[in-house]
Amino acid sequence: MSYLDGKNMKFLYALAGVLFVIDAAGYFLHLTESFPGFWAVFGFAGCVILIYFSKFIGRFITKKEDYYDRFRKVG
Amino acid sequence: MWVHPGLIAIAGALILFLLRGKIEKIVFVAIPLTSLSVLILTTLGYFGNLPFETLRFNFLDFTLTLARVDRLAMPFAYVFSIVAVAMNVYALNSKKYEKVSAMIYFGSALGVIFAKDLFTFYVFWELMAVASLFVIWSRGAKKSLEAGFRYALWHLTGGAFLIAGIALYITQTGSIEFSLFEKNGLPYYLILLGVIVNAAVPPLHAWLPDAYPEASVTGAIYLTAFTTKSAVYTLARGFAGDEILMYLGAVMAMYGVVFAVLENDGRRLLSYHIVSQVGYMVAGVGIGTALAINGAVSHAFTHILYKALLFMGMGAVIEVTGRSKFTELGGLYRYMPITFWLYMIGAFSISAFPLFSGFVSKNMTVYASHEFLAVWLLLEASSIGTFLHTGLKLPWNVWFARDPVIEAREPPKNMIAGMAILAVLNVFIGIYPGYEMLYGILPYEVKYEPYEIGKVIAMSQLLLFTFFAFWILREKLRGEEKIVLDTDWLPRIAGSYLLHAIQRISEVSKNLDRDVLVFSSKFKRIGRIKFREVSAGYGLVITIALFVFYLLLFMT
Repeated sequence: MSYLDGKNMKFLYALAGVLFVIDAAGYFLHLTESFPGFWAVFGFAGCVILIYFSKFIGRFITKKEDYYDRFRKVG
Repeated sequence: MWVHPGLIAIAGALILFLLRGKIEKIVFVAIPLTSLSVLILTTLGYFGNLPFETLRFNFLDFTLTLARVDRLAMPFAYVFSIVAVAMNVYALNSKKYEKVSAMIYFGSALGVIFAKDLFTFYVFWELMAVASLFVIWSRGAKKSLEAGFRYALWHLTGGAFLIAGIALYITQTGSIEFSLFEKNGLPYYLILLGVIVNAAVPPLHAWLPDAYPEASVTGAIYLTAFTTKSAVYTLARGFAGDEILMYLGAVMAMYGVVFAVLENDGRRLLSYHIVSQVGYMVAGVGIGTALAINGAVSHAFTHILYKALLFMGMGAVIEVTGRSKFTELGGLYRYMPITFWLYMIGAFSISAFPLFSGFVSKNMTVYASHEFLAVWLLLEASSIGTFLHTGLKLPWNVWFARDPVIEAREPPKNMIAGMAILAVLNVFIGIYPGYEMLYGILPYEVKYEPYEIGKVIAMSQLLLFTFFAFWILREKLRGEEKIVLDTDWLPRIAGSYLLHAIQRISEVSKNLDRDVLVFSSKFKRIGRIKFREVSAGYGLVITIALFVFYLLLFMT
């Protein structure tokens, strides 16, 4: 994604900062319940865990594309 | 006099057979439009106030009621008809047989939604299975024929459980009404088993990611909408508040997400996300509170709209390139930016971005689950995976990831138009869920405010940081030339061994036949009894088997 280089990535980092500030402000004004940045950590950690966990399971259940054909003895 | 919108579609499908050319196309789009206008007139009160029942017939000792129009049925009927309009625009140039099967499929799904007794329900349920099978088969490729057979086996098995359950249920309770089922042991669970096959609850879900990606570009979009969602409707009608469903749904949501990480085929990845998204609805039905049922129904509503859009986007890529695997695609943004952005509207919707349709429905279900920590956690974590695959992995692999590997262009105008209809709807519902729009037609009064600052901030952070994690680890999500084994592994392997064994037995028996005949011809006297007519080989095998059986029987 070439348009995600430089400037646009900076925009996303800025967005993350703004979201965190609003989140923190909301928390101290009792508008939001969760601890500031909780969802950011949840999203990031969840994503990393998900990828590694699935890849780990994938070691056992991914096979070559002709896997089922090798068992095909009829037809 | 209320006209059944499902019967309109089925009748229209039969008329479609006789037409060709431009008129065929006009009628094809007019069918769901007619159904939709009947529904709008119903809501406006032209046929009396909701709920009402109509179209009664006497059959044997029972009274069949084809139509029960109430607040649970209407949202499903609405979304089926709306999406069918967009689908038919998209599929305007598909094969005639596919069009006819698709419209019968659509009509029978409406039949299931409106059925009030178990007979009518079962007839439409099976009609739906058969029609969808023909939608898969109408592609005509060898792979789709085989996948279709496996699909048929799953659904025939499910149907057998269902009819057994219904028969037992009727004999036990004496009632054929299709409403919240009594928990009376075996019949209840047999019916539940039959229904969750169609809802694609693991481990009974394997037919879905197996068969849907093997349908044609246009056929697959019909499959995404009707079968699983009519099963969700059935669960909401008959099994609301059953705790098992809550846990099944939560596991299901996660299951689809994990498998999607490994998938290399675009539409197969999206199919695993149907499993995942239907998990939210099943969980919502299992929780069973007014909020949760509203969440499940509204999620079914929006899900149908954005999932069809996603399949259309991926389908457009397959249409112009003829390829569906990530390993064979990439860099297409240069050629198909419009398709990309329309797809992304679907992806933002399924990922529940604020201002897109998923946000106003999915979060309602998740919010309703927060008394049950495990369920809530699984559903929240699945949201991460949803965005990761549908919103990041797939578009990155197809439209970016490398320099273009194949020339492409935008798909035909009617396909763009079909996608555009759904994209507009998804954005509109996201911005304005409103009390006259989506939230106005849900089964219960909605006491839920989607756009509270806390909810918006939480979801935005979750999605943004999922993106950051993806961006760091993106090379891990490139497609690999592999397939993923699923729960259909056992039946498939066992099935091919069974076929193999049968073939071997018939060969052995053939040889035995010949040997015995050769041997018996030596005894002319025995030959005179016309041994040939009994097929000696089989006769011998059966006699020996029976003898051994009797021996065993007497010895024990």
